[in-house]
Amino acid sequence: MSRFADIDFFHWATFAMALLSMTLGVGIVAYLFWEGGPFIWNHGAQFLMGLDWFPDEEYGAAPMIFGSAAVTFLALVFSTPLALASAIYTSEFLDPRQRLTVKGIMEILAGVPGIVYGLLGVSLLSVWIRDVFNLVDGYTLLSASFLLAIMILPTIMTLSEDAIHSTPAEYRQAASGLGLSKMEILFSVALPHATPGIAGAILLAIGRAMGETIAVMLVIGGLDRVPEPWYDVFSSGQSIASKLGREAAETLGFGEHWSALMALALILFFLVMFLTAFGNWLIKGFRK
Amino acid sequence: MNENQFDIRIENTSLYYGSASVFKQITHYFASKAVTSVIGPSGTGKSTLLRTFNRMNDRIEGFRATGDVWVGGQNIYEEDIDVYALRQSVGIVFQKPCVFPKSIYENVIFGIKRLQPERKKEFADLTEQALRKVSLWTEVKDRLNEPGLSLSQGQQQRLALARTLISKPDILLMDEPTSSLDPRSARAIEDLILSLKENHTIVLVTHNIGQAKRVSDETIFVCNGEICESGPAEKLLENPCCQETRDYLNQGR
Ligand SMILES: Nc1ncnc2c1ncn2[C@@H]1O[C@H](COP(=O)(O)OP(=O)(O)OP(=O)(O)O)[C@@H](O)[C@H]1O
Ligand SMILES: [Mg+2]
Repeated sequence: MSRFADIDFFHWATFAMALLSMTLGVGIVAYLFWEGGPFIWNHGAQFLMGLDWFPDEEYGAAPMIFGSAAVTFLALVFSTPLALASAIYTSEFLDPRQRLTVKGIMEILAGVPGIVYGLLGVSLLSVWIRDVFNLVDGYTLLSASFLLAIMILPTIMTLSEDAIHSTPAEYRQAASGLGLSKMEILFSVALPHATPGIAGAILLAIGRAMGETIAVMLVIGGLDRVPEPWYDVFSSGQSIASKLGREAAETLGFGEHWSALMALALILFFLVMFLTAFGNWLIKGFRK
Repeated sequence: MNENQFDIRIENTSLYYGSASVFKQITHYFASKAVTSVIGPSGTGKSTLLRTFNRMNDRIEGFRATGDVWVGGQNIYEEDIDVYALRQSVGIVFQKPCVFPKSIYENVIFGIKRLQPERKKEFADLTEQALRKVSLWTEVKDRLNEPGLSLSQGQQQRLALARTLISKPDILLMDEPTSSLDPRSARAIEDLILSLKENHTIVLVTHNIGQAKRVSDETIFVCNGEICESGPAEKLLENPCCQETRDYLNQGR
């Protein structure tokens, strides 16, 4: 008797916890909508394309949207070739023990907190950038891009490596039996098989880069302006996340300024959620 | 082409994985343009032996071969051998049909597309020839662009065979090619083997004694790291002289 009573209790208790977790998740999304949605609705294009941000006067999000897009794009350009090359090397040329060692290190690197990268960015990277390019200071879009590139490298590398390594042995064997070399097998069997997984890895990395706050905040310079000309990566800038990090505490949680920030947060949330969901779907979908 | 293109001869060959030997000092001349079946208990090295003939074992860590392995007139473990060319003239088909997630057409030309790109214009004709050889042409000629994986297991195995045949190998290695197929598809493959032996030397590993009887001209029985017995299939399978062979054949009854 009592055994069954226990199971009943366990069932209901875990159900209640699951429901609570779900409610929290849904609640957060609803709250973001509630706080930020009306602002976007009311200001629309003026908000999304506006070039200036002066609290209590006007709120133009374009510099932040541009900044996020620019640093993320550059980070990918720097990071992806390196990450893919090391993924290929690790999967195809290392023996199983060396491979696991490399993967272990990458997974540790992927877990290093953003603030640690941020501090290294301030003390090393921005100084180098200032000196190498002869700038007044090293807090630029380029610095943020480099730092993000380093931060997303392990994610792209280790997830792409999984994708390449999961190429079925029969495929490799069949291709090898037809007379294809290791290189040809890589390009015509392993990489095509891994493409969805690699794409998923890159999407997850984009999500991470977009959401990264503190490290970017410390090196990007914090200037709410689209550079002039727009491709001047040596200028200071601002990303959505760094803007939120910088100003959230000033607003005390209400008022128009707060609503504008919540509107930015809503945009960021949807971008990252979409990228992460799609990335995960690609990674899991192809493993089936 | 030299006249030995159909030959497989092993002389005092030993095969090892690391320090464990799979075969010790075996010698055998395989019959040209004929089917030789290789039978023997599980784990005795039949697959290892087969993969030796086109150096597929090179990929395996620790594998080593000593002695002479003559295939198509070349001592293939010599240093200056082009293994990739070797594998095109010595085709291999595995137990589980392996079809790439591509169209039927792309599967057939998978190897030559990469290895003989200069013959691109001939691909369509070569594909038809290869698919006819494996009696798949009439079944798939209207759906060459459909995924290879949409075919049945038996058709997939024939597709894999066509993919191997398209580069016109003289020697065909088959490692239990029917063991994952239903009896009807298996018979279809057996008929193919019979039609192919006219122009190919075929070495067939099988656990199916009936199949060995139906398709092979010669049979070798391997166990305990050696070739215990070899000879005409009929005689060896009906009337073996070696005790191990007799035990093995009786188990199957
Ligand atoms: N990659 C490998 N590394 C080390 N040893 C191996 C490897 N592959 C096979 N072996 C060993 O070599 C021996 C022969 O294996 P092989 O697969 O050639 O046998 P087989 O006769 O084909 O067996 P089956 O009838 O079950 O297919 C076995 O003892 C096996 O454990
Ligand atoms: Mg085997």
